[in-house]
Amino acid sequence: MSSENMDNDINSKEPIPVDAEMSSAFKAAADELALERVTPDSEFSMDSDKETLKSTENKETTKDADKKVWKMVGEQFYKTATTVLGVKTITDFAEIVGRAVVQKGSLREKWSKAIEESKGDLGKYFLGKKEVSLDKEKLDDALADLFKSYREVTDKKEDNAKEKFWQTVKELDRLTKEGGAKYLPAEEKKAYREQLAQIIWQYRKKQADLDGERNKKISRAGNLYIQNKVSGFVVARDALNTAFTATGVPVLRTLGYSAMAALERGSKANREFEKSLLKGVKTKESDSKAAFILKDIVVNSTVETVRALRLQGKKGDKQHKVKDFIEAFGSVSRAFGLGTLAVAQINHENVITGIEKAIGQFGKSVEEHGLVSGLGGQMWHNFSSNVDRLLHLYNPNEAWQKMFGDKPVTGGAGLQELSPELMKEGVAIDTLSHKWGLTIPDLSHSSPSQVHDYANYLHQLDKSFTGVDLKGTSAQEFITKHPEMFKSGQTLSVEEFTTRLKQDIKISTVAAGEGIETKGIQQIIDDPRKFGYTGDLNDVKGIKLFSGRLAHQAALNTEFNGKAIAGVTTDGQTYDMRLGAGARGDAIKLVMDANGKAHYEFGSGLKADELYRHMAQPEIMSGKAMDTSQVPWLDKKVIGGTITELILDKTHKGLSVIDFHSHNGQVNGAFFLDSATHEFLPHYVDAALASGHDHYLQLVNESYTALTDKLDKVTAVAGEVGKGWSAGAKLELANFATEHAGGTGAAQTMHDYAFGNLSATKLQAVVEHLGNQTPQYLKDTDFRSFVSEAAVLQKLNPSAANELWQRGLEYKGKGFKSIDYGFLQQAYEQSRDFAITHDGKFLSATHSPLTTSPIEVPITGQSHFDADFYHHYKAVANNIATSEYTVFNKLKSGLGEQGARNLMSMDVNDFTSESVRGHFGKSFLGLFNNHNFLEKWQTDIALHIKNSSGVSVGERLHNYLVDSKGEWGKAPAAVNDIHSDQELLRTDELMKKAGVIDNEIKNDVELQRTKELLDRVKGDKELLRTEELLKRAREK
Amino acid sequence: MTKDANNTQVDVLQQIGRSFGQRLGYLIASINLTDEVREDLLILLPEMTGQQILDLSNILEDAYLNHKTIDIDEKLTVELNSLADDYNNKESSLLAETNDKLDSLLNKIKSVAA
Repeated sequence: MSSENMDNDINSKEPIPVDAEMSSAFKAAADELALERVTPDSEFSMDSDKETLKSTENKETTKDADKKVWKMVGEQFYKTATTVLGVKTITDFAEIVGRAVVQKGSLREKWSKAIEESKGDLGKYFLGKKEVSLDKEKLDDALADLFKSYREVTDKKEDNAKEKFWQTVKELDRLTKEGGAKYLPAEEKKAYREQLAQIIWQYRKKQADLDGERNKKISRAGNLYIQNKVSGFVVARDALNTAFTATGVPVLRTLGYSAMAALERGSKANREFEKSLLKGVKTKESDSKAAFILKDIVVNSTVETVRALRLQGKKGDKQHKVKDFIEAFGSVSRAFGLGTLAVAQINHENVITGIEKAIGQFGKSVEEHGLVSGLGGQMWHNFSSNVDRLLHLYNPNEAWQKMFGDKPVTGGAGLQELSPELMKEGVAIDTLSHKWGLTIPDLSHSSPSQVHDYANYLHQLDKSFTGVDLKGTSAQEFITKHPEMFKSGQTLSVEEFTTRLKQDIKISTVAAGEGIETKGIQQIIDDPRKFGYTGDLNDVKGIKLFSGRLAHQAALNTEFNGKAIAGVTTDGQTYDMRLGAGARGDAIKLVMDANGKAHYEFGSGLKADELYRHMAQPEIMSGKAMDTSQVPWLDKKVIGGTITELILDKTHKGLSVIDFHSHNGQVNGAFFLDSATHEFLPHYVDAALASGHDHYLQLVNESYTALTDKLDKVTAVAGEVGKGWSAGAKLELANFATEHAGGTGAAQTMHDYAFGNLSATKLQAVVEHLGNQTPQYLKDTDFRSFVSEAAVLQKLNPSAANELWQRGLEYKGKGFKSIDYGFLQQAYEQSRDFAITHDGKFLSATHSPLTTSPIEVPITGQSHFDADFYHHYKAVANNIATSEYTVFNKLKSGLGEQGARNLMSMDVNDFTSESVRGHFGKSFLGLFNNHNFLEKWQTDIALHIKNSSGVSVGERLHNYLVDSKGEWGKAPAAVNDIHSDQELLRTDELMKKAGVIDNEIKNDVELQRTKELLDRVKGDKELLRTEELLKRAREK
Repeated sequence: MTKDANNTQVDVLQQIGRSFGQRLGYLIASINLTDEVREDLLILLPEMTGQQILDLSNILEDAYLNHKTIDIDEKLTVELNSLADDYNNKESSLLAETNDKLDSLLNKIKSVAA
């Protein structure tokens, strides 16, 4: 007999005759047992009526059960979570955008305000509050369904035991009934029957307890799941968005979503706009414009990105563009799971509806199959891996294979970590430490289109990886020019490619500030043998001298418009021709003719007016008396002579040598002069130290080389910053760096100081105040601008500077993008009452009365450490404190101080109406005029349970207040009830009291002890269980 | 609305558009579609309404996010399984215990009544 039939036997078919009282008790027990699985303590009510103890033929194994659970998780939870996180977000964003438009203030403020004011889940979500308010009922329904289905699968094991149970019950029922056991007296029958009822009653009770416990646990697991899922979403979504967020505009992260909603509204506005134009009515132009611009940008940016990532270039554009629009739609909708059904009915008019259908179908199949193992799941798993790979790991080898799939990829280190940030244009080549190689395909038999693809590919490399702009030189030209690099099967490393590419461009084209001879020298140095240099290739000085000479000779040999581009004028001064700004980017080539004579050839783009004559400055002339005021650093004894020789513009450096004779005709020595500024360099060759004239000339030459070397180095390391410097300033920097670092470290030191954009003369003062770590400090732009004020600098000493900088560094490590060092110093000196915790929260000195710990405020969307930041978070912390004291005092007024504290230290899981009533009587509920507050409080606390135990009511309430800080100040419904009490609105007074209570709490050893004990008790599960059992026993 | 405010708004939208487009581009480039279908999708893109583009992006993003957090689903499955096992065990014991009580009552009655 099946148990189902048995149910009927007991409950309906066989009336229990004997004792009416007992009979009804028995029946009630049996009824409840069989039909109702009442779960009084559960947090949700399961769909119990259908949950009968019926038997089915289900033979599913545990493995099948797992699968089923898996599927349920996918369907139920995914749907629930996306309802909360997905669909709703669209409306929320529209709301945020709508709010932003009407805000006042800066752009940043506008969006921040709009998000803060947003009532929707999304506003909270983006404010960093992960606790999106979930639809509790919906979640519980999902949980109930889930477990029900699970039971259907796993519930069958106990069939035998249950059948036995029912058989025994039936037998006992029969025996103890009137006319049952023959030899059993009626009295005993009644007693046994009561025993039977008792057993069934106990079974029912325990079963109900079990169910209650189970449901509680499931509900917690579900809540935890949703929380984790939301957190996971936040993290993953942040990672995804960060990659595409413009630096310094953090608010754009949120706008990425809102944009399209705004666009949609804008488009409608535009249609109306156009219509109204036809009617001759004026409308707001801006909306429609913005929307059109946006959509255009989105589409173009999307298409560009896809093409760049798939390395498609413009390939295929033509053939696809002529492709019939409907045909394109057909292929997409098939891929999206719409099949062919709709395509036949689609025409140009309703193709938009078709797209919508396709997208809808696509989304539906993602929802339905997205989380289930099998083909669909695999596809989406690949998809998410693809996104990650594209985001973090870009593999040029793979990209290469896509282009030339039939060629094997060999050599190179393979995977290269390359963030999208680095892929943006303008990233310096030295920041990319990539190691990869590519195999050169055999282009000799390639079709023109393949060569074109290859050139495109190189162009891609050139921009994305090398950071080199080809400046009009096509990749094909480059290939032709360097046949040795592009031999079939040879591996070309990107370093080599980049170096060659850069060098090629550098030595052949004119850049700003470069002259004709500059290019000549560069070309000679690039390949000295080609220009007849026979000396040692490792002799840098030798090559330099050789190249300088030859480049100048070539200038003397080259005519432009019938005149040599370098030479001597009639007044004896040397001159050369300079290039005008228009010549930049133009090619200049140094050529050796058959007789070994060098001359220049110019690119066809060079115009006559771009070569102009450059004369030496007349102020310092041969025969002129030395102006000693210009060389204050010079020992007076050598002064008083006459300038006897001028070799201006000796090289491209613009460094001139002035031979200097005393009145008696004796050679005194040589000065070095910046020919652009006529500034004497702090360097002098003393002829008295030379053994003879030849030795003197040698000393001059060596000094010259040493100085130009230094200038070269400074120019190289100082980059853009050093460009405006005079030669004197450059040398000063070089000398300073050599003195402070020496050897190879000098270059780095120079770089660091040059980067600081401080004048060379100021460096000494800076180092005096900041110490030897100055270069490191100056890399920090915030610190740099801080110390650039003389008054600030004067106040600092090395140890204070170090301390300040370290602190700034620490704050930056905690997520601040910029530091106002002025404020930091002030805050530090005045021991401001705050700290930033290791996990980046604002730690106030004010203690929470609810947790007795200092109040921590999570920092959201804050990237600048300054006074505004401090005041804002300080205010929030005070606001929270005020609110907490309001609550605490309210509780205190009803429960007494100890009572309020006990309530605060209660485990949040015990916070139910029953337990609160049990502990505190009616006084607690009476505290609040409006009981909704308690209900909401309970719901909030229950909803936000993070762990099943160990969190106190006080902590939870505190967290709730912190989390809702944005709304807290604006008196949301939950706290209105408290705030409506005028007595409690005297914030000032409360804050005064707060200080006292704060101290009281801190000093109350007894309280601490109690709290400790309570914590221990809370942690003891065994004890809790015992307590629960005892309580139940008492109730009985 | 002032002219400046309009211009700022357009600037912001431009930035948004580029970021959004790049992100959508990454997502589209990542789906397992043939190059031809992908290209077709790009042809359709300009024809789509803003809402449709947003929907497409949301679908792709949801799928991505769900797979990034799939371990959380797995954890729940494990936990629910263990909860159910625990429950089943306790329920079995309860039933066995009750059956024992019933048996002894039955035996008692039988011994007395026999």
